[in-house]
Amino acid sequence: MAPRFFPERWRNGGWPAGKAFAFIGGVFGSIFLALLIWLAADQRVVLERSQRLLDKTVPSTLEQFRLARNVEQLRLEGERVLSGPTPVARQQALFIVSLLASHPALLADARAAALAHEVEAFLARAARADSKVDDSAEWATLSNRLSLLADDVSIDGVNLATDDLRQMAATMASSRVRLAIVLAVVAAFVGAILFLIHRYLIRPLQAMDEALSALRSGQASKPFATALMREIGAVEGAIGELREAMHEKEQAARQLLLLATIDDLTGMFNRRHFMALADEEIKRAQRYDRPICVAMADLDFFKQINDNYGHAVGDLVLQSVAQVIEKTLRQSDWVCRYGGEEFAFLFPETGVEEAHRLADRLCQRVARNPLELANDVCLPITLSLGLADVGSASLAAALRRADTALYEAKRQGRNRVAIAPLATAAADPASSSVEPQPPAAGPDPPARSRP
Amino acid sequence: MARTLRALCCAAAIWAGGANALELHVAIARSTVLQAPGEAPAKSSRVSLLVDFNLAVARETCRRISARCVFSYPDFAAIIPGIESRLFQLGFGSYLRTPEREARVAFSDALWRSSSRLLAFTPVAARFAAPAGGELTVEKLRDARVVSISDSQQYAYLQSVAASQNLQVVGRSTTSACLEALYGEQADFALLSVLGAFLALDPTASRTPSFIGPGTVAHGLGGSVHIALPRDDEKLRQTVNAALAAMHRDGSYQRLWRRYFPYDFY
Repeated sequence: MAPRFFPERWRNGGWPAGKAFAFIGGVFGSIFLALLIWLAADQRVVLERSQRLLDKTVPSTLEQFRLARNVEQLRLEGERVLSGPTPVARQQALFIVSLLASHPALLADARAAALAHEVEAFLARAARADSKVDDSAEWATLSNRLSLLADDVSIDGVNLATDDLRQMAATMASSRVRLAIVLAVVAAFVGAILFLIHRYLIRPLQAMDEALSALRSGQASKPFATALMREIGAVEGAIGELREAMHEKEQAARQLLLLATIDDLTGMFNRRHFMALADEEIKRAQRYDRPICVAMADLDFFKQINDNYGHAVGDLVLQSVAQVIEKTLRQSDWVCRYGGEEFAFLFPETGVEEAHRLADRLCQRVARNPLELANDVCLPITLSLGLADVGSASLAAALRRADTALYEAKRQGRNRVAIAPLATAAADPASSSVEPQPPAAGPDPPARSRP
Repeated sequence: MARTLRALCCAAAIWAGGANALELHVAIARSTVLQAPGEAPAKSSRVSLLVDFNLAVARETCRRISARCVFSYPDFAAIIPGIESRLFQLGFGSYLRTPEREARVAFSDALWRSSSRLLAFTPVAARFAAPAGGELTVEKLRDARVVSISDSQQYAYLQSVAASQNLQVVGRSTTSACLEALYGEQADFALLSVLGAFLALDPTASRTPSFIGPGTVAHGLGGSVHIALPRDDEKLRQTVNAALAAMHRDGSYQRLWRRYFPYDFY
């Protein structure tokens, strides 16, 4: 659920992908900018300290080293004042002592200035020709103090640079930690973006691809989950509508197919569909020289039933007989409502004898299943059936022979099966395609004048 | 195409000619060899070392900025007016940087550092010892004749305190002339740049003035020493500064100093 501060349409209708990613990018950009500023603060400190090291500390350190060298030179010149071989040499050394004691760098350092002045005064006294004082002990002390001062000044210079470098190292260490944090944030953002892209773009696209593939293959696809991205949701909605439209079209096509092939009263194949299927099956059987039989059946006294009880009862009789036929026939046998109360059968892979037994059983079961009407009237139903071996004949010829046999069964007293004699070349021209005409609804067709 | 090439060549030639046309008049404060009364001149005078050093630095600077330099050696006091009047472009005179001078000329980055100190013969200094005891300094000096280089910072300071300390200020053109004033008893004390005085003192002389009191950089009497330049030529100042910085970086300046002075004073 989107937070409350997002627009209402975002919370209810999904997020616009462009704005959502722009929002995420903006949030990350702000965070990244803040981190950069945070990181830049360290960089600035490092730059300032390095600049200070360059501009102040290093010159100051060099100054300290130079001061230490001057202090040491002051000590050496002092040695020359005391040990000079000639008065001129001693005077020359004393001049240099005075010069060094007046060095601005020494004057700027209180310790060095005081000690240098003390040394200069001592050496000036010692250098006087009339000096009779043994000054070796005092000079040893002063010389030692000068050496220690030179060491101290040198160490001070080193410490100046060391302090700055230590501070810079600490800042660099801090900067390294901050940089690691920034990199971690960037990595987390990239990971989050990849996750979001996979979760809200790639996966929905994969689901769409699967849905479209399912539509192509005619399979029912699963409905989409609610998409977070508005654009993805729109495409998913369009695919859903397409799927619904295709489903409706498929249902309509299936319904049309049923209407085109099924008799709506009995649920059997209609005559046209049966003829098409039977023709193919007969050709297959003839190609492989397999036995196959056809049969024509007609309900006995159906016209009287219609006349006496009405067409509604007649329809019930037809439905009842259709159920018996469906239960009696094998799965491989085909049957259709040929027209009115007449049915046509095809028995693939079945010889005449076996078809005869099957037809007899069917007649018996029909006869054993009278139709019980509402007023305790039990309406007996019987079926006459003519059977013919197809052999090498055409479907139409075979049905005509079966129809002839059906008449024979009627003539012999109904509720029985009559087998058509085997076809002869004269009686069964293969080229004949005239099939027996189905009876009109209601009574037996007058042209056939069945008994 | 050929016309374009000729134009480019002409432009390059003009530019090169312009670059080579940089000519500088360089003034270096002269010195005179001190000769103490009654004594022969020093055999190997050091007083010209500072002049020689300044000349060496000037030559190296001119070489680095690709300038043709003409050298002259006027009195110290004549250099700043010469730069103001565009007679000179560079002035070497161990100039301390003061607000008064900066109003007249510009200064380069620092060359070396200077301090000042009193000089006097010991018996004379004893006569002027501070009544309250302690070391004699220029601030404690009273009722004395003090010599200094005219137009120098030391001279300016003495002038500023002359009335309050009842000092008689004597001006001379060079350090050596100031020391001659001491020898000739025309002055009781000399207030001089320590390095200049050191170079002017003759250690072979039987009688030489001594440094009195501590060295000082206070009151503008010490500090960094610079080259004087015209105020209105910032480009020249930056060019000279860049040359000096390069000399410090590659050690040329330090080697020049060591060639003339056996001690570090920069």
